[in-house]
Formats: sequence, C-alpha cells, structure tokens
Amino acid sequence: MIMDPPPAPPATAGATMPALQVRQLDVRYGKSHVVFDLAVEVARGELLALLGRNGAGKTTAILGIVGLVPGASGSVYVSGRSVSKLPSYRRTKGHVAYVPSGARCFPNLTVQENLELTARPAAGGWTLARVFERFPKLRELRSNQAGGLSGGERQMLAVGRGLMSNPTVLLLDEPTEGLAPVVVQGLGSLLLDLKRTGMGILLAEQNHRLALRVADRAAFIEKGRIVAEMPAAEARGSDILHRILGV
Amino acid sequence: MSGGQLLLFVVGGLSNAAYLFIVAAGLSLVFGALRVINMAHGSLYMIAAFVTGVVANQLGLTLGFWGGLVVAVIVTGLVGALIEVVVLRRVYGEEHLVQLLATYALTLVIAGVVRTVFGANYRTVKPPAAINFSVTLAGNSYAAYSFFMIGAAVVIGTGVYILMYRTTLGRNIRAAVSDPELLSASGVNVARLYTVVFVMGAALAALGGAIVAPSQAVNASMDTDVLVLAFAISVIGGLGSIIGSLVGALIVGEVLSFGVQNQYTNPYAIAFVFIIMVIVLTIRPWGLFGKAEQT
Amino acid sequence: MRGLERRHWRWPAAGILIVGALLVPPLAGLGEQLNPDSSAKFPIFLGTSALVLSLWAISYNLMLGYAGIVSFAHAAYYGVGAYTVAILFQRYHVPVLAGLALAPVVAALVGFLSGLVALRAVRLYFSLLTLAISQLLYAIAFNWYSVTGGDNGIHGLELPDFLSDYSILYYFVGAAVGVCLVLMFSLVRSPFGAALLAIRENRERARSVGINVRAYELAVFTIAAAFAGVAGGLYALFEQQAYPEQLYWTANAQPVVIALLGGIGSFLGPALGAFIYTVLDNQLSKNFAYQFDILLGGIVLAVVLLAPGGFASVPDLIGQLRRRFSREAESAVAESSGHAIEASDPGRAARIKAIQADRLPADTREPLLVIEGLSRHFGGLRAVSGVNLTVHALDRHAIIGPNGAGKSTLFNLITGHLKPTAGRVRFGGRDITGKPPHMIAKAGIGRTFQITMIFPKLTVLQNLQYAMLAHRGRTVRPFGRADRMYRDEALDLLAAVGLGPYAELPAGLLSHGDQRAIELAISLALGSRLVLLDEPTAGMSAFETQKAMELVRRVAQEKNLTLLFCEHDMEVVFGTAQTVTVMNQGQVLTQGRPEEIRNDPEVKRVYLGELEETA
Repeated sequence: MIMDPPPAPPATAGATMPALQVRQLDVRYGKSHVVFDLAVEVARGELLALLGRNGAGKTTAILGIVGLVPGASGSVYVSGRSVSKLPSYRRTKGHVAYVPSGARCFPNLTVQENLELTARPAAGGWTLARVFERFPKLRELRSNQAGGLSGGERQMLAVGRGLMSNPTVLLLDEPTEGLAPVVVQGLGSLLLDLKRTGMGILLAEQNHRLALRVADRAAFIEKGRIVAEMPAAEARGSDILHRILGV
Repeated sequence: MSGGQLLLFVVGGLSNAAYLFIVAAGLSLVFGALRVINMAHGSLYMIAAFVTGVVANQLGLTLGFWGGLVVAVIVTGLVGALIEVVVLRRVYGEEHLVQLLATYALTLVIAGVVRTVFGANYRTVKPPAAINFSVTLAGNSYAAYSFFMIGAAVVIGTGVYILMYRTTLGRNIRAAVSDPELLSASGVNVARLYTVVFVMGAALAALGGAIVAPSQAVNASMDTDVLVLAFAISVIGGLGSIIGSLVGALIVGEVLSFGVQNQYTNPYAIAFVFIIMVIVLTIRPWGLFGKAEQT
Repeated sequence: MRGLERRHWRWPAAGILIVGALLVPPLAGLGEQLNPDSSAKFPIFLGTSALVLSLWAISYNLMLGYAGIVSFAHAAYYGVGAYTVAILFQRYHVPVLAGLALAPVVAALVGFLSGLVALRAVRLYFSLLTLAISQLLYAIAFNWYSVTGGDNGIHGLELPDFLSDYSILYYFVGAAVGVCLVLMFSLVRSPFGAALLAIRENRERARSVGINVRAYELAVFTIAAAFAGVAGGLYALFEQQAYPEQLYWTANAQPVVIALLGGIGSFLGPALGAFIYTVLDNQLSKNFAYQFDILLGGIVLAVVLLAPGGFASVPDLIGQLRRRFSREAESAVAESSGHAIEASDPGRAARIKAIQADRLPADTREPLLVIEGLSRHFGGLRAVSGVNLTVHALDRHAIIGPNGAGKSTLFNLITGHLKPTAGRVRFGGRDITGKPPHMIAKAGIGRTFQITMIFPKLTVLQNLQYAMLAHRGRTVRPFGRADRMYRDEALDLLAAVGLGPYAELPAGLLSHGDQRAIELAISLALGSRLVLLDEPTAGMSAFETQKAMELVRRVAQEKNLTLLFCEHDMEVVFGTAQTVTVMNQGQVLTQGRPEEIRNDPEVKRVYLGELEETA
C-alpha cells in the first residue's frame, strides 16, 4: 500500500498553538475501515461541532483521538505536541479529557471519588471546590454512589470529571443524548462558559440545535469522512445540514 | 456436646475459615476487577504451600516458616504476573467459556509442573518455633498455630479492606470493576493495574497456602481441594464480594469443622457445604453479597 | 474460504472416519500376521477406548458447542454409567448388557437431579456448581465402601461369551457409539437443537420469543448426561472395572481436550480428536504422567488462545457463516443501511395477513392491557410505585419521562422480566401478573429492547424461523430439520419489513436500523398483539429515525398491532403517539393526547423544559 509521507509536525509547540490538531486519522475495526483521513483543528477557546448521523463515525473518531481504539493511525497534537505515540491513559492525563456518551461514570464510586480519579491540579484550574461551586447538586451528592444519580446529574458528573483533569481540550460525545430538554439547556450554557476559559472543545452531536447554538465552527461527518466544514452561523439551516442530518 | 467440645469445634471452624477466607478473597478480588474466574487460583495456593515447605525445611525451625512465607509470596506473585501477561490478557472480555477453559488448562499445566518439580509425596511443614505450643482452654488443648491463623486472617482482611477503600490503588481497582475503558480514558494505566490486581490475588492465594502449610500435609491435590471450597465460598458469599468471601468462609469453615467431627458425617462434610450452597442459591441466585450479572 | 471447504468435505470426511473405524480390527490382525511379536489385541483395545472417548467427548460437545454450557460434572455422569454397570453386576448379579441398558437411565436421572439444582444458577455460577456436584459424587464413590468398593473401585466384571473376542467387542462398542452419534446428530439439527442455538446466542432474546431457557438447558444437560452414561457403561464393559477417579472433576480434561482437539465447531471432529488423544495417552501417560498433564493443558491453552474466532462459532453454522462473510456479503452489508426501512412490498401484505389469521380484529376502544396499582421496589428505591395504566387496542401509546422515572422497570414488569412487589397486570382479560417472560411472550406481548436483541450469528431467516418454532411450541421436537421449517412464512415476513435480500446473512452483520427491523419482524412472527418498544430509535440518525417510525406505523396499521413505547426523542413521541403518559419518580404524572401533554405546565417543569425551535 502506498502511504503518504507523515505530515510534518508543527514547528513550534506552546500556548500559541491550537488546542487540538488531528491529521490523517484513520481507524479500522478488523477489516472494516470506519474513519478515513480525518483532519480537524480546534483552537483555544473554540468549540467545534462534529455533526453526523449515528454510525457516521463520530464516536470512533473521538475514540481514535483519545487513543482507545487499537486500529488507529495518524497524528494527534495537543498544544502542538504530538501525543500520537502515547497510550490513552497518558493522553488523558491533563492533555485531553474525554466525556463519553451516555454520561458514563463509575457507578460504584462516590461522586467525589469519581471526580478525584481524574484530578490533575493546575494553577488557577478546576478543583473539587470549583466543580462543586459550578454544580452545587454534586456537592450535595458527594458521598453518594454515582450509580444512584439521575441521568442529568450523571451528565454533570461526567463533565465535571472531564474538567477535573484541567485538559487543554475537552471531547464530548453526544452529551445530550437521552437527557431531558431542561438539562440540555443547562449544558449549553456551561459549554459557552468553558469556551471563555480558553478550553478547546470538540462536541460530537446529532442534536444540531444545541450544537450549532454553542459552536464556532461545524464539521460534518458522513461515512467516516469529513465532508464539509464551515462557521456555525453558516451551517444553521444550510443544505448540507438537511442532507446530512435529514432535517 | 459439652461447652468445651463446642468451643473446640468452633475454633477449628474459625481456623478453617481463616485460610479459606484469605484464598477466597483473592479469587473474589480477581473476579471483581478482571471478570475472570481463575480456576488456577488453587494451583497458585498449592505452589506457595510447596515452596513454603521446601524453604522452611532448609532454614530450620526459628526462621524457616517466615522465610518460606516470604519466598512463597514472591515466587507465586511472579508466577501470577507471568500468567496474567501471557494468558489472561488474551481472554479478558471473552465469554466465560473461554476464560474457564484457559484457566482450567493452567490448572493442568501447574499440577504437572508441581508434581514434576516437587514430586507427588506428602510433606510436612513445622510451625515456627515461637508459636509451636499448645494452649489449654476449658479442658481442651489447642494448637497456638490455630489462633495465629485466625489472627493472620483478621490482619490480612483488614489490610485488604484498607487497601480497597482508603487508597488510590483501591479506588482505581473499584473503578476498573465497573468501567475499565473509562478508567483508561481517565489517565490510569489499566493494563498495569490488571497485572497488579492479579498479582495481589496470587499473593493472597500464596498467603493462604503458606499459612495453611504447617496445619495440613502439603500434597499435590491441595489445588483441587481448596478450589472446590473457594468456589463454594464464592457461590455462597457472591462472586466478586470480599465481604461475601468472609461470610462464606465462616459458614464453610464451621460446617466442615462440625461435619468432620462425626465419623458418619466425616466423609460427606463437603456434602453439607454443598447443601448450603443449594439453599443460598435457591434464595439468592447470585450469592449472599453478589450482584446479579447480565444473563 | 476454509468454511466452504469444511462443509464440502463434511460427508466424505465422515465416511472416511467411519470406514477407518471399521477397518481397525482387520488392520490390527494384518499387523499381527506381519509382525508376530505384536499382538492384535492391543491396537483393538486402543480403538475401543477411542470409540468410547469419542462418544463421551461428543456428548460433552452437545453442551459446550451447541448450548454454550461449561460443565465440570460430565466426568461424574460418565462415572455413574460405569458404576451402574459394575454395581449391578457385582451386588445384584445383573448381566453387564442389562446394566449397560440401565446406565443411561441412571446417569440421566442423576444428571437431571443435579441439573435441577445447578441450573438455578446462571452460566458461571452454574459451572461452579457442577464442580461441587462432581466432587460430591466423587466423595460418595470414594467413601461408600459397602456399595462402591471405596477407593479400590469394582473390578472383575464378566462379559457374555459372545463378547469375549476383542474384535467383536470392538464392533459391539462401535455399533453402540454409532447409534448414539446418529441420535445426537439428529438432535442438533432438529427444532430442539435450534432452541439450543438460540439460547446459546442470546438467552434474553430466546426467552422473549417464548423459549423456556432453563427447561431446555436442563434437557440438554440431562441428555448429555445420558450419553455420558452410555460411554461410562461401555467403558466398564471393555475395561471390566469402575473406579472413583473416573468421577474426579479433573477427569473432565479428557472430553474437553478431545472436543478441542477435534474442533468444537464440528459434530464428528471430537471422534478424530479421541483417536489422537488415545494415541498420545498411550505413548506418554505411563512414563510421563506429569508431563502428560502439562501437554493436555498446553493443548487446551493453545486452542483457546490461538484459535481464530474462538468458540463463538457455532457448529454447523460455521461453514455457512464463513461463506457469508465472503466479499459479496460484505458489499451487500455495506449497502444495507437504511435499505430495509425504505423498501416495502405491499403486494405481500395479504399473504402475511394469513400468517396472523389467528388474531381477532380488535375494537379500538377495548382495553387491551390494564395495569392496576403496579409497584416494584428495589430495597428502599421505589422504581415503580402504584402505577395505573390502560392501553387500548390499536392505540399507539407513548411513555415519556426523565431517566430513572421507571419506564424501563415498568416494561420489564409487563413482560415478566421483573416480578412486581404489588399490583396486577391484565392482558386481553387474562391476569398475567408475575408470569415468566416466555409465557407472556406466548400470550401475545412482543418487545424490542433498548439494546438490539437478535441472534447475531444466526441468519436473518433463522432468527425468524427459530422464533416461530419457539412460539408455536415446535422446539420440543427432537427430530426433523429446523432450517426447513416455516421457511416461506419467514421469507414473507422479511419481505414485509424490507429485509428479503438479507435473509441468508448472519443477522449481526446488518446495520443498526436493519437489526431493529429484524426485531420488529420477530414480534410479527410471534403473532404479538401488543408490541413494547423500548426506545425504538435510540442510536439512530434523524433520517433513520424517521424511516424506522414510518415502518413501525405502517406495520402496526397493517397488522392491527397495539404499540406501547418509551422514547426520548420528542419528535418521535409527538409524531407517532396517539396517547402519551408521563412518568416521574416511579409514578404516572399525567396522561393525555399529545397536544395536551405538550402544553402541560407540570410536564414542562419536570421534563420538557421550553422546547426550543420545535420543528
């Protein structure tokens, strides 16, 4: 097989670099090729919405970025530093935070243990106290097992867990799925606040209403490929939105 | 039955429960975190008992047992690490069928190796000199070693509890029980954690095997004997629950102690254990402290 | 393409194996003539031993390969067979052949009784229980001197005169083994075998198509024990002894290793494995007994760790599956997404109506499902608390509410997957409270699950055929060929949901939406009057969702189905439902027509919020 030469890494690494750069990401599950030559870039303080149908490859792309699928190739840079060679547990130590779909938590751990598990202290960053400040409900439930939480509370916990690692970039996989509309609205305002702190956010969603309300840019994914990318304002009501998401 | 006799049986049961708890706790720990039922757990226990015997007899009465215990834990831990890396890693997430067969195969391999290396003859191991005396209580004489076993189980059980609920490692292990993938995405090296858990399980099997060695004849069928009892304990107490192992071990230990006292029930003491298993499963199909598994 | 070859060679291979087995005595005789130092007795003796082992291993494989059961008690039933012959002969002077006839009966009885106990537990716990049972039976054999001879066992059984010749004994054992194998082969192809495969593939789904999982597992466990009893009896016959180690749980290594050696994916494979094993055993176990254990363990490990695809592959199916996995199938599957729900063939509707003819046309106002005061508590948690709900025939009734409101619990209470703490459920006038899932399925309540529940390795067609077999009570038949039954009916139903082109593909290869369509077709195949859909569009794109709900509405209308569904997608709810019930914290908050619910302030507060830019 003829391979393109790997892309040159960005010249300088540091605070001026984009939070996340993904180049030529390919993911295979056994014989099936799921994500093709995916390239995305998320600047600091920017929210990129990754929109596509179920099965389009959104979750797989995120798993590839986090390093949770064995059959992934390509380059991932966080703040300009390559993390491509690192296993998932090292990528997620302070670089990348992953908030999986379904508000996954550790149900047999307490709320506080769930949060402490990912904690990576950073100057002026998120701490247990700040997370509790942002989600007072979690403070009330701090010694409860996470398994007993409602769907909305669990989603707060899942996002809180992501924040505790003070990541450069936050990856959210369909955070609104299965949530009551009233909780979805709260999540939207949280994402807007996070952007202001300079965090880069990649939001994979089918719920285009929420996603396009909070996003700066939108990338459309279909059959494992990014087929279009544009500013969020342009994406609203666009033909491609109709075609891809069938609205 | 007189009060003194009753006490004799109860203490006998407690010392059974002591080593059984240590062994079953290891089985439960491994099952809880790795979702693998390790059929070779009894084999690790047997390796430790033989190693303790060999080392103890080399070192003499004062230090022998202690040296044997340390060496046994180290050797068994290393064997455990080898098993985890070479075999278990390949069967995580597979059907129980595959896991049962793979670890069953290990029991055959280890049994063959132990018989080849140590021979199939019975061995005796002397308790350490410091606790090799007897105590008289209510007219009956007790080996001090029985109380040592009970004390050791209390210490080890407390240690496991503190480790699981008061340390970062324990928290991570509990997290791995529910969602290893998410744990890996939370900055924890799950592959290494699994090796650590399995080595801990092997070490518990080894502690059980080393501690039991002076109280029984060490022989090449102790793997199966203890495995059947450890499974019975797990089924009664609930797989994956350390508390369940404790309760199950107490029940099984006492039942065996009372069962073997009578010449008629002696050969069938295991049958009583079995009947209790059936009763427990009739009421709670996942054991007293177990969690229902997806069918 | 290995599967294809294997299938192609299956009958010739079986033929070669049989001819080979028949030729053992003459060849051994020839060997004796050519080399006067050797004796024909020995190879024939080994051959007999291999025949017995192959019967034992194939009976083990009946559980392992076809029903996915790992038992550590199989050696015990083999031992029971041997002891039956030995004890009857020694204590009651019953001729060994009469004892042999009784061996399967006794083994089956012991197997049935212990299975009754062990099968109270599921899978892993079951396996551990069989280990305990095995050790219990061993303890009896070892300790009950007066009957079993204790650790010495029983020796010196006498054979009838006509069996004193080794060759004749060989053919006699061979004939007995042959008869058993034919019986087992017929069993695995029958509707009964289909039920086993269904259970092996997906217990929950099997239960919900009306298969009494535990009864079938008990049946196959008992049957396997009976055949193990025959094998044990034959062993006692040709070895003229029985001893306690036969029952010891590690003795199960033999059938396990043999089944693995021969390939768990084939019916006759273990027979070949038995011959290889016998030769190895003979060469090694006398002088290198310990090393032989290591070798056995090594073989099991090697097969388990290195066998591609592992044990998931089901015998008989494996050939077909591998063929389907070839390129043509892949490309078809790649296209399959959304295809089913777009395609439809109204022309077939009439024929499908006939399939459902036993259903009476329902009056729309007639209450079909009536729930009164239904509660289910888990410890202190009141998951469902005093729910009253009436579902009218032909209604499309949605249940909505926040996560944890009790919707899934309510569904599980209706379908019998959970037993209520209090309250009644009546369906079509019959009280179905607390009935097991398979009976509720038979009563006419079908369901789809939140997670797609199909038999992934069976073909799409078999998914429906087996469901029909189960629903119509045919899976008790231990003869006939399951794959030839209800074929046309199943094809018609598949066409109705647009899955006709994929009939022969393994269901697990189809897209998510198409798998949902299979579930719907299974509900139709079961003649359900009420179908419970648990988040029918979870994990679907907006496009798939729309198409899927169109399919559901159309099929419901054509087939006079009543729908009860829960769903988070409000567009689906308000676009499909005629009645909406809102649940919160285990209770019914309110109920009404969609537009009433949408504007209800309380519902807005706890659940809907302000729906933004409603489409």
